[in-house]
Amino acid sequence: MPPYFSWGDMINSVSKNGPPGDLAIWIFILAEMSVFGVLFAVYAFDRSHQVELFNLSQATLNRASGFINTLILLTSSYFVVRAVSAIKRDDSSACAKWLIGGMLLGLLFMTVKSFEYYEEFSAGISMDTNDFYMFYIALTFFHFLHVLMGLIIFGFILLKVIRGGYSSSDHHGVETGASFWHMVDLLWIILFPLIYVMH
Amino acid sequence: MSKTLTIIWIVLVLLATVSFQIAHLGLINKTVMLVLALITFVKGCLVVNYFMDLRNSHWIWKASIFLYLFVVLGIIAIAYVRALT
Repeated sequence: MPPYFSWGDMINSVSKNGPPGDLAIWIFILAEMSVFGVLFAVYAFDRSHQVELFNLSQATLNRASGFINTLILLTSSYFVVRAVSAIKRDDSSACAKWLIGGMLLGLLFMTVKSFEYYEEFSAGISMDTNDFYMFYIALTFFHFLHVLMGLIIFGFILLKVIRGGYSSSDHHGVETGASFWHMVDLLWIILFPLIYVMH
Repeated sequence: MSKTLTIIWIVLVLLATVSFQIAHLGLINKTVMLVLALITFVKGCLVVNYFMDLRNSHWIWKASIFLYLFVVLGIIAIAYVRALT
């Protein structure tokens, strides 16, 4: 009998070997990434028509802050992945500690970004200044809101971890929150070179 | 496993530092632009495989995110290289 393709087998296989966490969060992740992807592409093509303006405006950004925030988010993601490893070993205490570390770094990211916004807004920069700043503020603020959302999700997960609500056999919630947080990290991995580095 | 994750984190930090240094030195040409896009792609793949832990998931999940990274970074690279010429 020759091998044949069956959509039923394919769907079964995809759902059996699904990604970590809730399937709904992955649909949300793909949707959010698509929105950001379109914005990244529009930014890149708009820039190709106003290269001088984009380069001059980009030079006013605090590149060091962007780099520090990259390190903060990468480290935060690392802490979160260690939290997931800990709960898989039934170590709720270590999971809570790694989660708190990841959340504190998330707060630090927001603090650094807020100082950056404060400097820029004090210098009279706004979304109306030019196309570069419009994209810069829209993209980074949209991302900033995702960091805030991730912290709120982690707040609920942390409470459940502290109460002993997760274990090695039931850690779906921790993986779901972690997947969202890694998406936030992944988006910044593209955002940092696009906004701060490439010129 | 935790040792692997720590190595991945160190590699990600090093790659981010390389990108930052390229910007700091003001090195910009077509090749550098493509190198920056490639570094970003590698960082993305590491996060997807090891942090998001999609290594053991069905290939469709990995392919979706890798395709996303390839297409988005490809579009960005084309737009930037076009602007340089």
